[in-house]
Amino acid sequence: MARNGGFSRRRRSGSADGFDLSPTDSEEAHVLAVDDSLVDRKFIERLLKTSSCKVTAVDSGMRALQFLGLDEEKSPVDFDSLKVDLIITDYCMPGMTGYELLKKIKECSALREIPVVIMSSENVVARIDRCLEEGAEDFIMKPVKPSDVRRLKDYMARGFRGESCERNNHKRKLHDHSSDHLFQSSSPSVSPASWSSTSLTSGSADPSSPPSVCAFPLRMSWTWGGGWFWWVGCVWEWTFLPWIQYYNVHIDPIV
Amino acid sequence: MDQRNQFHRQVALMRQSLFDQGYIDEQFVQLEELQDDTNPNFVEEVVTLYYRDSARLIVSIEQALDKSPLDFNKLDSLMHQFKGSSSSIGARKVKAECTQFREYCKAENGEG
Repeated sequence: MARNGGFSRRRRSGSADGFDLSPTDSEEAHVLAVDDSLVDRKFIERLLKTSSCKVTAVDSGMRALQFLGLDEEKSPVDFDSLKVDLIITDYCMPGMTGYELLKKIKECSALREIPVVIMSSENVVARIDRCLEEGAEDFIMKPVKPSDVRRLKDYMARGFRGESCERNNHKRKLHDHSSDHLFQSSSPSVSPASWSSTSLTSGSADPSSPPSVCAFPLRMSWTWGGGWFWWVGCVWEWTFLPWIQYYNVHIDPIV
Repeated sequence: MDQRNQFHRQVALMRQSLFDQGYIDEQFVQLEELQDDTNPNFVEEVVTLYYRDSARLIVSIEQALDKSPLDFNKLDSLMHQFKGSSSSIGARKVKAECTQFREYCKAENGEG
């Protein structure tokens, strides 16, 4: 699988104030681990390193934001060159919880594409749903296992930046504007360029499927300059469309 | 060499005994599997950190228990941390006790 843009492009050597940087390798994915528990941080860091990841472990959400450059305070070291491929954070942390950190990351246009995974030792469904709806890629129960880390590698490998994912689409699905609900068509929407040639009969190119009843999303008429097109869309929707549906149901239903 | 082998056997027996008595679980095996030549003291480091962390938490819990009335939320929070780190290293019995303690906190059962 190709990895696109998921790796640190420039290296930093040594450790910076408050951050635990591991030796770098430009081929390795860079994971930011956030956990207030030292034991858990050590454990997850080791787990990720054995999976060939470069790990930066911080002990709080504020530190994580500081590392990502979202903190208002000026960091003594310039971290602009470091790119993070995945953020894995504990849910229950003093000060800023993992959920709050997730929200802040998703609110930032520069960082929202970074996959965020939440960890928790408590299996609270409402908590899990909330995190997934906010855009978390996954919710892992502690203690984290090597199989969980393999799954994390998949998220990084699939290059979640800018790509949608079924698992991450609770929120995205809620915001998805479906223009087809009015028409309930099983056939693909007709593109704006071909709307005028939409067949009004059942003689469509594919006889096994009903005609393109979802032919003319109303929004298209708006984008095409409103006015006349809007009226055409209305006429289509109110006149021809019901006839097509009637035809499909009563005269020549596709079984 | 003989003595060294003897020590190894003793350690192995102690380790098995901890498993048999339920003090540690398979999570500890995960910890051992993360140890290799590049990080030969990983288990020792993590367990040392755990003991230090636990000692700190136990002191905080004792202080919280000395207060009156009991702050169950604070106690629950401390036990949550303790349970989390115990779970990460596979300290099964400690984790179970933490869970029980938290149940008492939720029920505001100071006697428990």
